[in-house]
Amino acid sequence: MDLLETSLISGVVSGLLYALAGVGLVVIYRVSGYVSFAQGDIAAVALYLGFWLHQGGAPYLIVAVAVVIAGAALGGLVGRFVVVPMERFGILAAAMATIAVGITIQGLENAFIGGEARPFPSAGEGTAVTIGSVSLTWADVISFLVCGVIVAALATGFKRTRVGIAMRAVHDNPGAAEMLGVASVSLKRMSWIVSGALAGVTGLFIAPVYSLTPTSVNAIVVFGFAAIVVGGFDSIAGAVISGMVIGIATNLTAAYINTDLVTTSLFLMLVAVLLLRPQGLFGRRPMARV
Amino acid sequence: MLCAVNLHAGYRRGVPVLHGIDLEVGAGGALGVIGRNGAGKTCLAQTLTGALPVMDGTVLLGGDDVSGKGSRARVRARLSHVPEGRMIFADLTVRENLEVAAYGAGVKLTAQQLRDVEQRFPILERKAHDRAGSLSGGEQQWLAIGRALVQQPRVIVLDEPSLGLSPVAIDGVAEALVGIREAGVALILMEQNPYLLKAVCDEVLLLDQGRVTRSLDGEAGEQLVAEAYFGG
Repeated sequence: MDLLETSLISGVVSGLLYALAGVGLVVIYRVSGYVSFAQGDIAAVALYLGFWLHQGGAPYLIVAVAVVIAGAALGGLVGRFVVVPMERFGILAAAMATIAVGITIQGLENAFIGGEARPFPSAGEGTAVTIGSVSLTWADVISFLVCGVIVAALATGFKRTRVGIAMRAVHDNPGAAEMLGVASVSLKRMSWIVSGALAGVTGLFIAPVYSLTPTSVNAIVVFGFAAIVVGGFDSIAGAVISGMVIGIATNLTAAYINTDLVTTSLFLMLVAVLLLRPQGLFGRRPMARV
Repeated sequence: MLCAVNLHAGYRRGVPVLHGIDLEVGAGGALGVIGRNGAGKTCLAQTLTGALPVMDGTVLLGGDDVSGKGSRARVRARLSHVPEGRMIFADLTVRENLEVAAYGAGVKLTAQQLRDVEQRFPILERKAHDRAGSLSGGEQQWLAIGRALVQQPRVIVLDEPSLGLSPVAIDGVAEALVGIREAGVALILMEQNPYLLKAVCDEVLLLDQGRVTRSLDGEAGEQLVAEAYFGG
């Protein structure tokens, strides 16, 4: 029973983190129509900066703010100078460019910093709440709250604000958006800045648990990617629910079947959803006149 | 209000489609441009609205030279475009389509403005929360014109608004455009449908291979259109 309880509760907590990782991908997708595979690598660069600040004695809050700002700045630069200009060759070229950026960053990190695992400070030590037999640390609670607030804010932003609606319009029909006077390139660049900041936030909650290496955030972004595929690319609520389902399902797999099958169970779930409902559990089919 | 002088433009550098177009429309006026497929109507619409660059010549909006400016600057100078094929945002709701248009023009979509547009096109209110892609062709055309209206334009350039519409829907478009003219907005209407041009415009230019070959107006114009465009 304890094992089940632990699997469920920690599944929900990690699920929301998967959702946040996924939402960082959705922000760019919702404007430009492709996914950035450099998300984890942008986070890693920002986290190394945070790591050195922490080594130099900076308090956690400063470290956290610096990581988010660095993520936003690096995301903005990558979008501005590499990926958005590449869109003129099509979204596939742009998506490939994000892979190239990611691998380049990893290579530079391995060459100049080294790939060994480094400890990263946590948002809060010690037990904050105990639910049944499960104790959640302050870091878990803060992660849950921050992820929840950010995901809710983004969902509202895309649905209710003029900038959010205009971003969706750029994705829907970029030519029409331009003709109506929407500055689509600026909105695309903005999505990269927001997405970079989200990469930083996601990294802040991943690095203390999995320690900091050039690829540790990437490992979780894969779960985030699965969350948005299962939930549906255009549904932030879907990303949250499917993030939690993935969190619980993978925890149950680890607890009751075999820890080696965690990734297998994740991808089986992904394939099943894609076969049965390609637009995701909560996604809508795109409208097209035939 | 909108004036083009010796306008040359095209889709590719060094390959002009328009060869020295002159046209002018005043506030509340309506100028039609008729021509076969490939005559250059869409190229002219896109050059006037800034979607295509001007190769040579001048576009004046309210006396200001906007030749070097793109779509965004011209929309913000109150020149709106109803593009060929409507180009609505299919996955956004009807209301969101209007919101984006207002955002693009840098104006706020006030309740009053929304009421004005929805009174003119009641379907846009009834289907405000439906996805725009679910609208019929005629309804989508209302939405495309509604989007232009919420931009508070001085001039609207419409590219073949009758395309793919039923005769009844075309009647509705004609009625709506006359109403918009009467509100003081200038219209430039690229069309192949002589009925719509006759119902809305004072003057019609006949465009052929990128040149204005005739300027037609009144009953004589109608006869000339029939002769020149349909072969008699």
